[in-house]
Order: sequence, then C-alpha cells, then structure tokens
Amino acid sequence: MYDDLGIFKMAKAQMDWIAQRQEVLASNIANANTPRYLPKDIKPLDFKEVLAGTAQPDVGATTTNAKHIVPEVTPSPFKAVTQRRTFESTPDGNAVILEEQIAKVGDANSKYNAAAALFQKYQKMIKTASGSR
Amino acid sequence: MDELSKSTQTAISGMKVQSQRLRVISENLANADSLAQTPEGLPYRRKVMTFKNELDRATGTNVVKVDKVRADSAEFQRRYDPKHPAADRDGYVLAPNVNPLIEMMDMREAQRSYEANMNVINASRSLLSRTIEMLR
Repeated sequence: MYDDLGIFKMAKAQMDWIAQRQEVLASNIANANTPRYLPKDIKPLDFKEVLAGTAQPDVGATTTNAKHIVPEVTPSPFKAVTQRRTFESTPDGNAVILEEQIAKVGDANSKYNAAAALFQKYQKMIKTASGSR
Repeated sequence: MDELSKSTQTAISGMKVQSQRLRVISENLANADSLAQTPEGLPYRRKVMTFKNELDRATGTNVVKVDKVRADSAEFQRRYDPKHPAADRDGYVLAPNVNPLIEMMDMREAQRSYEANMNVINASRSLLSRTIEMLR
C-alpha cells in the first residue's frame, strides 16, 4: 500500500541504497589488507531516477520460453564502481583507507536514520489523517 | 539474506582473518629466539600470510579468506656466540629472520583492521535495529 506513495518509495529507495552501500563498505574494510584490492563504492542515487521510479537493475535475464526459470536473486539496481583514483596505496597495491571507509559508514548511518525518521513521520501523518491514534 | 546481514558477514570474515594474522604474528614473536640445536641446523623461519577476496556461494557475500601462510624467504640473521651448540666454525649462530619491530607494526595494523570491522558490525546492527524500530 505504501509503495504507491511517492514519499515512501523515495525513503525506501534511499534505505535500500544505504544498505547496499553498507555491504560494499564492509567488504572494503574487510579487505583492508588484501593485496591489489581497490576500494569500491556505490554510484550515488540519482534524484530524478528515484522520483520517476525508473532506477532499474542494469542486467536482467530475458525469458524467451515459458520453461525458462527467472533467477530468484534479482540483481541490485545499484551499481558498485571501483574507485580508480585513490588517495594512496600500499606497496602491495591495496588502496583502502580505513578512516575514509569508516567516515562513509558513519555518513550512511545518519542518512539511514534520516530516511527512517521520514518514513515514520509520514506513517504517523497517515495515521492521524485516518483518525486513529 | 538482506544487505545488512551480508555486510555483517563480510565484517566477521575480516575479523577472522585479522585474528588469524595475529596468531601468526604471535608465533613469529614467540620464536624470535628459536635457534637450531646442531651446527648445520636452521633456526625458525618467519611466517607471512596473505589474504584474498572470495565469493561465499552459500550466502552470496564477498568474504576475506587467508590465501597462504608461507615462510619468509629473507636471510637469517647471524649472531656471534661461539659457545652455542649450533655455532659454526667461526663462532656464528644463524638466528631467525624475525624482526620484532616489524612484527609489532603488523600487530598494530591487525588490531586497527579488527577494530574497523567491529565498527562496521556495530553500524550495521544499529541500522537493523532502526529498521525494526519502525515497526513500533
């Protein structure tokens, strides 16, 4: 039901994006000592795309026959990009900077809280409008 | 599996490899003075480990694994100690190629990485609990 409302859709997209980003950041931090590992990040959310609801996965399987099975795991609509230009890298080719990654995690955290708060606020407004307390 | 649990899994794998690394470091440090018993014998050789990034198929997450634990091929140190049973004709004993300073630095790095992974777990958990809170 909430999916039809723009605000909820946007908040959901934002929270989805942050959750995905959290995963990418976690793998960056876990690989802080893996040789030749370059940090990744997720492409920032495009406001226009989210508003239009057109943020679609890049790859999808096409079914040409009724017997084709649609994969259960749908590809994420958010693109993880490897950072080519990094601040510095260690002699073994690892370019993860822990401070940078942790800062991103903190940033994701506060954004997530904001989106969740927005979600709840609107939920309350709907409740008020529908007369229940 | 949702993304937040996946990131927790990844961070846990990071913590695992860092603690294994700490174990290898402690082995090196503990054996910094393990000399040979006979004149031809070789002393303890320092161990180094490398990590690799791997896709865990069961959960679909990228995790870190220990790639290899191999012996450091650096040359042994030589100490002058003619009375030692492992001393050669000139009175030198081969000592392990362990440099406590390097080991300490490695240890610090492992510690920091471990902490960073722990922070990620905490952050993911707070996001998860925030999501659950929304149900209230």
